[in-house]
Amino acid sequence: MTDTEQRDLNRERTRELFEQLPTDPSARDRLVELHLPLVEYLARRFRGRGEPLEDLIQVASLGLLKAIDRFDSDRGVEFSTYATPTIVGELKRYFRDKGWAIRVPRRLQEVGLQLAEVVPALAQELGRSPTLQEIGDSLGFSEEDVLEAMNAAQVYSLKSLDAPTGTDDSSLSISQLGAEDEALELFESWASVAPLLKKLPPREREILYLRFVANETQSKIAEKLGISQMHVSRLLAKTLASLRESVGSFDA
Amino acid sequence: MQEVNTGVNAVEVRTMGDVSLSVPAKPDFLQVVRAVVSGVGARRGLSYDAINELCLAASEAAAYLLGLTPAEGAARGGRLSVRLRAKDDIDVTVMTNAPVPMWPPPAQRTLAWRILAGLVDQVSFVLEEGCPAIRLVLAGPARESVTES
Repeated sequence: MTDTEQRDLNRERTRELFEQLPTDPSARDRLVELHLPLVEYLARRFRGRGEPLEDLIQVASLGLLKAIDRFDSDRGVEFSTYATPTIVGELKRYFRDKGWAIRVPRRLQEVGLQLAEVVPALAQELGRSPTLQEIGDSLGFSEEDVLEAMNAAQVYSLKSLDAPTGTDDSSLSISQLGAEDEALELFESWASVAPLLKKLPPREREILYLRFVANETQSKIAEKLGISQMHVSRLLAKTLASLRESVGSFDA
Repeated sequence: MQEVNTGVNAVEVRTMGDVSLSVPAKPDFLQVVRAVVSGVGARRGLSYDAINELCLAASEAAAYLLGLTPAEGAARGGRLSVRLRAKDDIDVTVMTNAPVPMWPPPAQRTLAWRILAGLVDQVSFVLEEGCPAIRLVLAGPARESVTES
């Protein structure tokens, strides 16, 4: 049987099971079984981000159950078309929630996400880094909310820095970006830290150079590298922490 | 989180321009230091970038001192104290009550000093009330330039 024939058969079987579902609860289990390959396929797309595949399959299965319970066969779309974004949404939500080292209220997470967009836009518009009052006014939040979101952002797992930067699998991680720059030589001339700096990924070295040698602001660095200021801030903190760890007592 | 509630037993706010904080000498509490520093920075009207950098400097200073403090020191009640004074300048002093051999170090030869000097206007490794301390100063005029740059 060809793949197309198999797919057509699965679709037909899915339609039949949804017809049986109102009178036969066991049809739900058979729908789950029939779509486990889809669950596994989607879960595998999220592998390599620090979570065991078994856990991802469980999360994706939960997404499948939600999709089965919410699907309306009268709408004329195929179930797999409907289920895929529901399952992917469940997986993304799982990563979003798991990504915080300390549980941060959803509202603050959302303010934090908006900060990443609004801060560079305001910096561009004002020609300087905005104050928290200006950020709050722009977002419709208080200065206190902005401050809380800033602090909450710092507890976000540093692991996320090296996660793919986009939503699709083809996006590069930060450490894969950037190239050697002759100007970095200047930074590396710091004799006492040179051996450690050479071990850093090019992008992290570039950020250290831009911040501590070229004396650029974090916003300017973010603009130059095409990443958010928050990313630059986290990356700086992560790099300094790793340098500190490498140096031990910090005295080189 | 229980430890945070019981460990941060001394946050003293005399005025919004004079704040002291004492936490256990453990890395887990650096976030508390950052939160207090960012709060003072925000109330002084610092820009988003300037607040981030002052926090980064304060937590680097604290982490440096923690790195010199034996882990058993924290278990025996070692404390990390932070004092913020904000008038024209913002002055942050981070100190530890744990004994640190060879203090102050040859400051300008340390990586910590180089990094801190890139984040604030003045860095000094000093003895404060007999305890090893790092003093960071963000100068008023320089602060303005950070805000306006």
